Amino acid sequence: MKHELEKYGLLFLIGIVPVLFFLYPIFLMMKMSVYNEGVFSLSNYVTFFSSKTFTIGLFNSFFISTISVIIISLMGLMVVMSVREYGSAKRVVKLISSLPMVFSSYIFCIALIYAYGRTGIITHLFAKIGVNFPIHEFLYTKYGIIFANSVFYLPFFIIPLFSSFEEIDPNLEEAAESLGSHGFHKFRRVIFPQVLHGFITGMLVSFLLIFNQISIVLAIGTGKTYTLTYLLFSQYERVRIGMANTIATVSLVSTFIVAFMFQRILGGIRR
Amino acid sequence: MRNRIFSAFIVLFLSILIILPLSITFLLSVVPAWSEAIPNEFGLIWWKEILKPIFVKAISNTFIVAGLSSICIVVYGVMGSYLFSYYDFSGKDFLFSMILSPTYVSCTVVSLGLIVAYVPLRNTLWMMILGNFVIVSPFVMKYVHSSMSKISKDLVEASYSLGSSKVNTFIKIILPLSKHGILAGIILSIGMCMSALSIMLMLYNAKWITIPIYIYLENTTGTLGIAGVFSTILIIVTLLTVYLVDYVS
Amino acid sequence: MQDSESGVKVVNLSKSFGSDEIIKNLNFQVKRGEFMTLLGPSGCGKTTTLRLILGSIPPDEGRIYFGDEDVTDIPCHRRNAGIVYQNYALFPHMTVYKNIAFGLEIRDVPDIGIKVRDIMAKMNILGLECRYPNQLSGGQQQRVALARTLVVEPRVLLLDEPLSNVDAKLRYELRSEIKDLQKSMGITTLYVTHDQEEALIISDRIAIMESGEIIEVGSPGDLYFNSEKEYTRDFLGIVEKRLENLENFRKSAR
Repeated sequence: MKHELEKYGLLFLIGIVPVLFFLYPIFLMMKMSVYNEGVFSLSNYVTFFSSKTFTIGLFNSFFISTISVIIISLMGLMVVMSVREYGSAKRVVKLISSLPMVFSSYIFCIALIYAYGRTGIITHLFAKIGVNFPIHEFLYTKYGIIFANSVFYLPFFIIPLFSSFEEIDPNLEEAAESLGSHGFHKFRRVIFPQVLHGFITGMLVSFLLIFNQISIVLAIGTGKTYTLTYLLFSQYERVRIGMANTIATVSLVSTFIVAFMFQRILGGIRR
Repeated sequence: MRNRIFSAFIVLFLSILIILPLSITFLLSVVPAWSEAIPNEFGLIWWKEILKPIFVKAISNTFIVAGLSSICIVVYGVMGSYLFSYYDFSGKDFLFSMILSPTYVSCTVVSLGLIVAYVPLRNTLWMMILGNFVIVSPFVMKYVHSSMSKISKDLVEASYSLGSSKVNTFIKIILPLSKHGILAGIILSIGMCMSALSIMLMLYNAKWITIPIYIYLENTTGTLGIAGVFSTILIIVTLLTVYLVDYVS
Repeated sequence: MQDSESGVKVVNLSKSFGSDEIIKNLNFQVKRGEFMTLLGPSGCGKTTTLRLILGSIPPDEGRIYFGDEDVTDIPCHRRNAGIVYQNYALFPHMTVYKNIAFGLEIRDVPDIGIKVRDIMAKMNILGLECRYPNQLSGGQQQRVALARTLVVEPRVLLLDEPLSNVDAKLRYELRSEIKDLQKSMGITTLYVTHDQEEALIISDRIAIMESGEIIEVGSPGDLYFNSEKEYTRDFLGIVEKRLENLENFRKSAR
């Protein structure tokens, strides 16, 4: 009896927190987005989807996230594949990769501007030898945001991918080689299928991180590139809470759909 | 042999890509006036600036907010891990997913939710702590739980059989054995709370401005030397954090 | 021994990992079609020897010959040495059929289906084609592993304690199956184990190994009855040595 009391007491204490501070606020936001002046109405959504600004914002969020994830997964795979057999190089890569994880993306972007911007150090150094280092031309557009995202979130993808690779039975590769498999054939038929699960999970996590973040857009977007999170923030600053709630709901539904799709794909992969 | 060269190249490439911006933030702090692309004058005037009371306040604010938030986060993380490791109940998986769900969602959305749901707390210190709490606790909970769940149940059973109460077992057996996870959680929590900008953006209180918020505000008005100093401090603290987490785990 | 009779020859082989000298100046030969066992305690270097012959790690010094051919510089995927592991090492994401067909598909041989079914019949695993490794018992998995390796007709067959993960009753069964298959296919075989009884029963010749060196080589009968080396007699648990040890114990307990 006492055990039950303890259990349910603890359960209540722990469980009430996400309900009070996460579920309830979200529910409230979603509810408020479908009420206009006390009456149930979808007018906020009509405004959202007929506005060029907001729909561009929605498109940009997806566009930036998708392209960044593609770049990150390809580069991440390449990095892990090429370093995983060399202990010292692997340690160095892991160490460098752990830096952005607890770091502020905003400051990182300021640094990127000082390095690769129009008057950046790297740009200047390259100009001195007569080469136009092209990053400064697109740094402040959505392609610059993609670039910054790819650099900053690459480590978040690499670290779990290393774990996936480390879980492969080492005898498997040897067995494959002994049967004549080598190089790309070995990668395609033996190695990659083993890490596919971790690879796709990494893609999902990166996508959500990038889709949901705002600091990078604030730092290099210069107010001209809109994403959902940026629009939410700016609507809030202008005290347009109704629209802010609407944007929040759209953002939530989007991430839910993406996560759901990925889970379906992951479910279909044989471990 | 070819592979070795290629992998060395990859490491170099990665270093430049990631370490370069970090070193630049340090440069920012030692350049009095960064007007041309490549600075040629160096000085420590910005570092002397931070000794002024307003900046000292910002630093202490950062530590206080991060500290208070982390206390709540870690206590919650430990309690939650205990619940999940040693009790069974229906809906366990569901509850765990619910606790982890803030990680799927944008900080701005969480912030807006808190603002909308708890109007009286708007822009207070408590809101800042609450925001940190909601967003950071899933991460810490994961770390602590993975450490605590690895403790062999036999040890706990042996402790009870020797007459130890639940509380005593928790303090003398379970906590010490999950030391690694808890320590990693503390460090992670402090690190994330100190460098958090997106969490604070919509929630901050003007009297409790933290370093990241100050940098953001200053960026839009132009005195970047201070930002450079703060960034460097943050980088050093972050590096220490990372090193400690690595050392501990 | 003439070279055309030799299956595998290892000359002055040395290998270190860092400062650990695992194998020092190893020399031995396996006759063509012979079943030789490398017998020794854990850590004596037998698995490393196997992997050197397989080609997955390069030697620091020495040469390796398959018959007359020096294969030392030929990489693993072109050496055509087959290996069977203690933990089976089946590709978990492929069916039994795909696992066995893997090597044949690379060699692009005709009639893959027929060859796979043939070897599966020989190994008594017909009917398991569509199963995945995690749906098989330990004994079945090891049979699939053997089938996969043998179907490509390797020049040399290497077995790394293949029966250690198989339960006792099945072990005897599989042991004689492996021996019969080897004899009928005539493949030069190098078998690694730390189990003396197994080595004595199954081998044509045994090489006793310790700390990276070969102590003695001989047929099971030779080694058991006529060995002069202290280490061999001790390791094989020869009756006289056992009695001697027992006598010493009795004396010390008095």
